[in-house]
Amino acid sequence: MTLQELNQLVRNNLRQFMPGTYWVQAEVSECKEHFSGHCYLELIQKKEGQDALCAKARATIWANTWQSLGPSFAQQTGTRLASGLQILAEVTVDFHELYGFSLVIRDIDPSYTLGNQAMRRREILKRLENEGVIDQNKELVWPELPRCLAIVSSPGAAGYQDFMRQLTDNDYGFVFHTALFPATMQGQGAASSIIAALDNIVENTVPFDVVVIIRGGGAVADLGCFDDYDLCYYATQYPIPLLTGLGHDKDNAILDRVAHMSVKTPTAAAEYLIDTLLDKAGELDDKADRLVRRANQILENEKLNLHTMPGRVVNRVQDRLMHAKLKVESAKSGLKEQAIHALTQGRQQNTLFASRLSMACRTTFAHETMQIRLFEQSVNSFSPSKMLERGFSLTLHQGKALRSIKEVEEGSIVETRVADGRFTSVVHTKQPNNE
Amino acid sequence: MQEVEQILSALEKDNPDIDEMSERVKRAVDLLQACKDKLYSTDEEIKRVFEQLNAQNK
Repeated sequence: MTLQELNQLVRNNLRQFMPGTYWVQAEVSECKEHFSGHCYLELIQKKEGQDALCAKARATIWANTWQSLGPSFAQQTGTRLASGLQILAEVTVDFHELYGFSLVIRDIDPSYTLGNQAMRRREILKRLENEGVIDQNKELVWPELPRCLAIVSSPGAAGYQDFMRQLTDNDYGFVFHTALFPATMQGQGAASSIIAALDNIVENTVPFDVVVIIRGGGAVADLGCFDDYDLCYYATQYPIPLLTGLGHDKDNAILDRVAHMSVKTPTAAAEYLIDTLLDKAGELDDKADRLVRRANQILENEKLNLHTMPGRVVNRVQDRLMHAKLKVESAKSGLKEQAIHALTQGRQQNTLFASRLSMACRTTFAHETMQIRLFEQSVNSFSPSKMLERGFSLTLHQGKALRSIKEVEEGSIVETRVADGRFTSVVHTKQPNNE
Repeated sequence: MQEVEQILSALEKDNPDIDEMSERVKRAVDLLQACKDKLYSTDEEIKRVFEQLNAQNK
């Protein structure tokens, strides 16, 4: 028997004993669409709770099946058939002499994948929650005027064009500055490509207000990457507020949940940003109005003040004048009284003073008279004749009274006067007092 | 924006004399204008940097 004959035998037996279809749960580990239109997959099963495989099979979706199955699966699950997905597939078992064992997929139940995805998503959400990071991007302060925008999108995407058009053609004339950071937004590698773009943004020196992640336009939805744990964890740790518009109307992706703000479409994202500025513009107008109103009010008050000022000045001046007049009047009468008083008092004082003066004069006079008398007496007692009577004598030389022995010589003739007469004598000897 | 609000509430609360008022109003108007500029006019400096960035990222 040839190898071909053996293989034909296996094939025939398989067809005979396993003719029908089977619903099989498996994980897609590879999925490639061939240019012929067929889709080739590899299905695996891992050991419970481990990464090690316990089963593996090749599988094929023929082009005529894939044409309708591919899009409908993507539409219903929100993700393209790709590796990592858990699927429930209706298969027939096939064996080919040359290519060996494989499964032919006839149908896939999207609700199984969806349920599985939802479960996985719940797990990831729970994990982010347990790690305490899930709201961290939301906790960032949304900027007052978000006008410097970094955009993560694929440049050619219709969603990006929509977003830009909406933003630049806004009716209010708001100006935004945008910089595009291109990323792959679907399929494998999308999550890491988005992370790389986000990395690139923060490494930039430009201080962006908001990072907008947009996607959309294509009919095929592949949002699996937006549930990627690594991407979503990274997003929670991102230092700039994130705004997502991922272009889907199914359940929110986890990235939507962790972003600061999420809207359905890129267009809605642009509208949200415009609305933020519109709010601010309204607030500004409001404040400007208040300012003008209040300033006018103050001016009006001031004007009123000025208006009544002349009258108030006259009143004030009159008041002052009256007051001054009164003061002068009272001063006048006061002055008169005071003058009279002063005069009377002065007169009285004069009289008193006069009598006191005459009295003082008299006293002084008497005193002086007495003094003079006493003095007279003492003067008299010192007169030369009195002195002579009291035994003193006066000696003259050449008609002058002698006061010193130096005025005479031995042999000089001197005249001495006593009380009752005079006599002359010759100086016999001279002797000073101390010897 | 905050400063504008502060000036406004102060103006609305007390009765400033006319010189003080005009000074405060002037400051508030300047601030409001700066905010409006941010909303409606292109910051040439930023524009230039962004154009460079976009050229790099292409």
